Amino acid sequence: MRKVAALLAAALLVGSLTAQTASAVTAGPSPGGMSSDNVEWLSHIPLSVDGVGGRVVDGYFYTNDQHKVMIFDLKDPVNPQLVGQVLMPQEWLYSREDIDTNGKIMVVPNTVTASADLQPSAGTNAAYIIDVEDKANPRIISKVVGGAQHTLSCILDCKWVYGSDGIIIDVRNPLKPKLVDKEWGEGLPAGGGHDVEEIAPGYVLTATQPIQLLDVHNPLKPKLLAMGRNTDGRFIHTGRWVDLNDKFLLMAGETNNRVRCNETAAAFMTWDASTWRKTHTFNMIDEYRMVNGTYADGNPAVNQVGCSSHWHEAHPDFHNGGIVAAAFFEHGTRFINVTGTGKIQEKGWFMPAAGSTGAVYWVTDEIVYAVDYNRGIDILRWKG
Amino acid sequence: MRKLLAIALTGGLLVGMLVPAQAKPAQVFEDIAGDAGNQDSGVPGFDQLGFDLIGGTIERKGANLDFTVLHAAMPPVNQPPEKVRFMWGFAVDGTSYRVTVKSADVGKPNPVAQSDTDRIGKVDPQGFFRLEGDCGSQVVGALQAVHCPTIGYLTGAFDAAAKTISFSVPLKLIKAKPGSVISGGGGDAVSICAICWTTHVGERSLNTTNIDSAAQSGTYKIPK
Repeated sequence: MRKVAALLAAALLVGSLTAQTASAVTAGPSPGGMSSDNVEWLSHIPLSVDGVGGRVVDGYFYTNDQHKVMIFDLKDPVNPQLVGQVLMPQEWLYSREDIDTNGKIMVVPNTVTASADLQPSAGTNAAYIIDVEDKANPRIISKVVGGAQHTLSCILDCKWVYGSDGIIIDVRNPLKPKLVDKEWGEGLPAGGGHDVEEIAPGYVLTATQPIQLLDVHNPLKPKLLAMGRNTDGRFIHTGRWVDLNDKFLLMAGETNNRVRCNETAAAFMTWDASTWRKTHTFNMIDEYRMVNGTYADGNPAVNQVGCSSHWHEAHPDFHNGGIVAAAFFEHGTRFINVTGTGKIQEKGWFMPAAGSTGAVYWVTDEIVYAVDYNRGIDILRWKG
Repeated sequence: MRKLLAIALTGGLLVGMLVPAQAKPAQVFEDIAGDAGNQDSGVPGFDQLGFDLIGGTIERKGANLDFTVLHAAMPPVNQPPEKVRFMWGFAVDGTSYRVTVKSADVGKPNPVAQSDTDRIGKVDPQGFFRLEGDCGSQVVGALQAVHCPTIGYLTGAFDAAAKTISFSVPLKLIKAKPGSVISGGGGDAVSICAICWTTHVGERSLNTTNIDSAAQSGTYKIPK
């Protein structure tokens, strides 16, 4: 107890001494952890076990963990109500990331068992289609044995699904989804990777190396529109782009199991997307990494899952620059400003107590849900 | 005669001291403060979440045994995350049991046996105190998972002011009677840990990720 009091006192001291940081904010403790003075920890939902996936659609927050999919009503975003859940055992060590839904059906992979719906099936994995129209009674309506990959993403209003490693699932009839005998990456520079994201109807950004923009209006015959490559061949984990006309791709890598930060730790990156229609290329502008610290300064002395970027999401008002909330495991949630030239500056942070943040989601223009592998869901207020 | 009586009394006293039947709370384990974190290496913040074990006592109260676990700090119930759980493996006259405590829970079947379905569909923000026995382990893929079937659910409480969690175990459920000796558990009841806060991963693999561990060094003889 004395040790904690000393740490908190040190936090205040160090916070006052580190006013030269780009954000010029001071650290402060809260029951949830430590944060800069422009980030407020509001509350905590403990109901999640290794949770990371989420999606905000039409007033509901859909999130999953190792055992279940949960649906929260966002009428009061600082006090979300759990209105429905689907029991879906079981991933053994980590849950699936970046789950996707159009608010009617949800697509959730399980890479360990084809019996996660408690219906015995041969096979070691499956893609599950969940009917989520009745928020209080979501239910698994079908599955595709052998259809799971690390992430599954909705294409064209969830009529099709792309897997992170190339599979295509036809979900035009959600009761009878079909694994297509063709992969989206056939003939492309990257046939698979960590994730894909539909940026606009019929346009997909791939979190692959190289990064690719695909026209998928015909999902069985995607066309390469543009691409960008890192010369160091780094792993690309996340790709976000607020729309096809925004100047910046918002990308991130991942480096797990690194207890200490260094210059090769995965970074949050900005990429120039202002000329892709002419040049058919994307080029990296800037990158931003975490450093280790003293806890009191908002940086853990060591990391658990890793010193790494992971999932991020742009502020609803992001347009050719603005704020991005980004999850950095034990470094928590970092609020990053992307300037009009694509340069990256950290503006605020929340480092959870005993946490490891996997993903962050803007629920309103000031409320962020930080889904934490250890803690559950932290509800934060970004005060700018 | 008086000498014999004195010897007899002294002998009886000594025997009683060896295995006394305790009517008051008996301290059966202690643990240093500040070591909650990653495998008993202290990490800031873990103590404030209620994971830093200090000590534990056992006391008979009527038809129950009351277990109390003191922590360095304890937030209100439902603040410690669903992911973590407290475990205490103990033995009653050599038969091992385990108590698992969570402060928040969404019901699910046991991941190994796909059994223990009593909690399916239940959302319990107040958590549970669960008595388990007949523990075993099995290899599942690359993991060796521990499974302890449920015997019953217990009455218990998180007390933020007292910095404790406590739970009552009916003597009947653990087949205990006056004179029974409560000692540290054995076998798979303690293969994750003897006493600890651990993550769910601890149940899935014997390569555990315990937050703070302790061992029951003392015994408790149930008084009449």
